[in-house]
Amino acid sequence: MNTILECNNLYKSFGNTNALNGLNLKLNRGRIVGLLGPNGSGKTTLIKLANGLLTPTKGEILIDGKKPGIETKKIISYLPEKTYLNEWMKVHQIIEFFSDFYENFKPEKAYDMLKKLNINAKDRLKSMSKGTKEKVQLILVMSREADLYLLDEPIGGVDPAARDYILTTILNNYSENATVVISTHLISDIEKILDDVVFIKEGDVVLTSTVDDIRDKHGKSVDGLFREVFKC
Amino acid sequence: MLGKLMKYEIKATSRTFLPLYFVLLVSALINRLLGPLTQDSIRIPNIISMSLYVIILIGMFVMTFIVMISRFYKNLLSDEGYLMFTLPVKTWQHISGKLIISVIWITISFIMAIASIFIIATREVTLSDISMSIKILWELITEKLGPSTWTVITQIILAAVFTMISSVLMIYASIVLGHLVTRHKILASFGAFIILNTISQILSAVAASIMFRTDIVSLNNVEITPADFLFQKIMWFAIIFSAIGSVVYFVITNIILTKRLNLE
Repeated sequence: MNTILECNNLYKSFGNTNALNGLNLKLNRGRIVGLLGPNGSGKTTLIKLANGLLTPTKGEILIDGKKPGIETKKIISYLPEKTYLNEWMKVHQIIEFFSDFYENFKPEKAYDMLKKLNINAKDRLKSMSKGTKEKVQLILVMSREADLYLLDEPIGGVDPAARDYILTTILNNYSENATVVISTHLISDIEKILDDVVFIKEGDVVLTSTVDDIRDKHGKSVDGLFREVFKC
Repeated sequence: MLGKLMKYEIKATSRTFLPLYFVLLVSALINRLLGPLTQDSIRIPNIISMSLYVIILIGMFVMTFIVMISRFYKNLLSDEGYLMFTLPVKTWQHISGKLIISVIWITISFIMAIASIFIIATREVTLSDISMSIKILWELITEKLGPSTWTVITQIILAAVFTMISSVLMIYASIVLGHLVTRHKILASFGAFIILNTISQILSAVAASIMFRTDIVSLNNVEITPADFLFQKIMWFAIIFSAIGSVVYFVITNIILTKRLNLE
């Protein structure tokens, strides 16, 4: 099957507010997809639903044709927008943790990336800055050979130099058959690596397109189109 | 996977418990070395070290309780839950892993408490005195209970284990029930605990009054000993009741964490 992620009439509400409003979406394998939208448009909600951290109010979300569960968790590598690592472990202990639970985790990849970013594997998370923690998390997530990477704001908290490294890391570490979904509102930074874009607004998809099509049809950059679609 | 979860649960919790047990035993040892309290000369260091020991002892049980709750809440329902619930692990394994490790720590805490009391006791009496008294006590028990001794001991152990399990699971169920509401989750968890506790009290009272109605009528001021059939009946009732409670709380926790998980 070529579809890796599929949403059918997906609703999610928190109390009286609808975070997702009957969203329909199909993402294919082997693409780098930008999930773009302003704050509060439902990007994080969608990603959390795909991970089974939230339960849909209505409709369904399928990963590789299956509802979120053990089988989908094996093939999704997820980078949340918050720090999900505990403070007391050392980096190498967390690497052991990931190797223990994920069959597709490659520790040698992780150590290699840590070295390139000058992060000591013997350091405790507690002693690290917020930006360094985010780098560690991204390294862990990208050291898995997953089918679907869901990266929620992967570059929000790090400096521009690290941003470039992270993007190359993402590019170099996913296989042909895998799909990378990057949610962000910092579009100009990631535009050059995207194949497809999904614009999401008030819990619904307003546009899906390849980046080439946007350039051809609209004669604009993704950033320019984004500013037009989401004009305040 | 359950084994791996338990391994990390032990790693996460032993950081708290091992130093705690160490401090407790050291404090007991200090009391032992300071010598017995004599009635005519009240010595300040003895009083201080004894008070410290009692505080540490109480503190150990309070910490056992707090760690049990905070591990469940923090590891599964706060930010760390983002990692735990995206592991390819079944929800029941998360619950069981935490439950088993909690029960083990509660048991060790009790053993440590007893051990520390023995350490202090040896300043007044010798070890052979203690083993002698235990022997005498054991003879008294076997004499009184006869062949049913082992049944009674098994019942007491089972009752203790199931009471621990059902208490821990009642707290887990309260936490996840409280987590269902959108605001004031912790307050709601307290509320859920009070409600679950009340329901189980009422049910056990009702069940007991049905089960033991005839016994109570025929009893009439007769002394009950553990060898009696009635005592054993009561024990089995307590064991089965907490076993059923454990299953119910486990199912509630599992269903909510599987079908109604909403990490915000």
